[in-house]
Amino acid sequence: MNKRQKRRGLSYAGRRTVNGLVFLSPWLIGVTAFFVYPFISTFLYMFHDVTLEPGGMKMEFTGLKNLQEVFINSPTNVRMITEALASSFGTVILIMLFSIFAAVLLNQKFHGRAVVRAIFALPIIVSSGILLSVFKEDLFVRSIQSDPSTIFQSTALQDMLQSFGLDVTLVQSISDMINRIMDIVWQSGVQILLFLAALQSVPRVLYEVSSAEGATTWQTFWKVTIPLISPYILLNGLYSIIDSFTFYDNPVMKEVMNQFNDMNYEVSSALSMVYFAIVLVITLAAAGLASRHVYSAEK
Amino acid sequence: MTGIRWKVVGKKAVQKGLWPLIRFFILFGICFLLVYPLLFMISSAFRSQEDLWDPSVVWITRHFSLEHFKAMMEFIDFPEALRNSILISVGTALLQTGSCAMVGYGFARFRFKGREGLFVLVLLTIIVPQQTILNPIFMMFRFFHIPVVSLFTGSVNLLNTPFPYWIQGLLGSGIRAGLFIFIYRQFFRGMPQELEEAAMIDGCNAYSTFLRIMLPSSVMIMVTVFMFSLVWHWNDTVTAGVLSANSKTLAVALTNLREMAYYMTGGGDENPMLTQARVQAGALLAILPMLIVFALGQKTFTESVERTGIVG
Repeated sequence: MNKRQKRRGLSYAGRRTVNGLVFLSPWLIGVTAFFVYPFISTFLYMFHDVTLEPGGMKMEFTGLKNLQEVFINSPTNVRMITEALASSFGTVILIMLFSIFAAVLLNQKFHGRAVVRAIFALPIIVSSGILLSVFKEDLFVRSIQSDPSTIFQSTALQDMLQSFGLDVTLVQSISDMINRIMDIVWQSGVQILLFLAALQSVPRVLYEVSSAEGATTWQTFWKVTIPLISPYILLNGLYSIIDSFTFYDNPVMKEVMNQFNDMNYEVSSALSMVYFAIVLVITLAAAGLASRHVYSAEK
Repeated sequence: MTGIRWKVVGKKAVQKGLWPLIRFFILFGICFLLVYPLLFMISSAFRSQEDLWDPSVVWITRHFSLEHFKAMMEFIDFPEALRNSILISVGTALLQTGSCAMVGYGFARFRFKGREGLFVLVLLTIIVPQQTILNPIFMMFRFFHIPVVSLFTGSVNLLNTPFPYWIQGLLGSGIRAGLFIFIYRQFFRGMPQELEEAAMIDGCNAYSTFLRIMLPSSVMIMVTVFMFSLVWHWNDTVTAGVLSANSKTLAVALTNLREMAYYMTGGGDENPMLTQARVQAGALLAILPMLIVFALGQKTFTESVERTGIVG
């Protein structure tokens, strides 16, 4: 009875707080144990000498030694990180362009659309970096059979463009992009799906109005579709940034896992922490820049 | 004059005839990129050894053979690996679907101090790469202290069991749980508040409203989350390589596929085509269950993503 009175005693706001916290309770435990604690630990590893011993970890404070080891004494790490960032940046832009383009195509009406959509969802189902590398085994086989016409290799095209007298670096960057088409297509599954959802969320009335007002399809796309799906563009952009910066094939992530497997915990944590900090700054900057231009129905 | 005529005819031609044609070629090209690896996989996995080196065999083998599958099945212990993968993926996906729904609802509907701060934490869990925090998590499960019980027994080693995944799934954590919480929150925010108010007036409290009103009306979004979680756990090789490196699961087998095939065929250099066929057969085995699920549930899946409009 006492309990009951106490419950009544709580204000409406107080009761909502309690209820809300009850709903959050599993996550509160989970996030503390499996996120906050590991994150702080990893952060601390950076400044310690960590050795694995029976029964647990032994940590010895070493100050900034690890960071110095990883970023100043190592000849390759800084370069590896900058290269990884640059290549991921390019990938993100290409993924965004490709996925919005593909979604617009898939949103149109044509015969066999269901089949095409099903095929486009394949990357979501078999998304895994290792599988992608198995897929590319084809290259290896064709080279054994000395057949130059692999679909993921554009040496023939490279030669052709150069014979037209184009600049070598330009040709190189074009052929790099072509070589990455496979990766781009296979990494865009979720993004295409989200953009499709976005396109369907645009009210049909708006298209009817704009066509009645005499706008061309092109104008409608830029003036109606793009603003209305801009929240999705932001979400997709952030998703792509995170996804490609932490992709299995990313050299930094590979190095982090290698160091981890070699039990160099302090090196792996220093590397991943600094890399994460950079990615976080990029993500926040992108979100900050983009959110100013994002359309919101509530405004 | 011809210019004007071209303009008139051209526009119509583009809209009526040319564009569908261009679209067809673009879509065909992309679909080719997506289907090609699978076809290649199937084509080389069913080849008998004699056909592997035969240059006149391009796609369809003359001597159909299951030997690569048999060899790989035995090597990765397929039944055992499949069982473990299902235990991990399906179990965790179910737990995450439930727990994240609860948490997402908590974030969507209850105002309290510090809620925004906690939600920033959700976003952070999405942004921080798994690899960054795997190390302490590895240690935690290697020397796991069960609350209260471990006072008497000491720590247990939970590595190479499904428990690390299940525990995290139950507590709304684990692979991409932050994203699921985010999705649920957006979804529940978009639900009309009148539903809950009516339920409250009819005598439901916050919990029974959630169980009886909100959950039944969010089946679509739950299917979406379940499918995503299932697929991501199935394909996850990063976490699996740390938390279950020594157990037999398909993800682990996939990671070691090439080494396995090299080892089996005696070094790989001697017979690269055989190694290759074995790798393709093994990879096909690993993704086959997901392909089946996909073939059955793809339509519901895409439709539910589209209809619920995730971001709201």
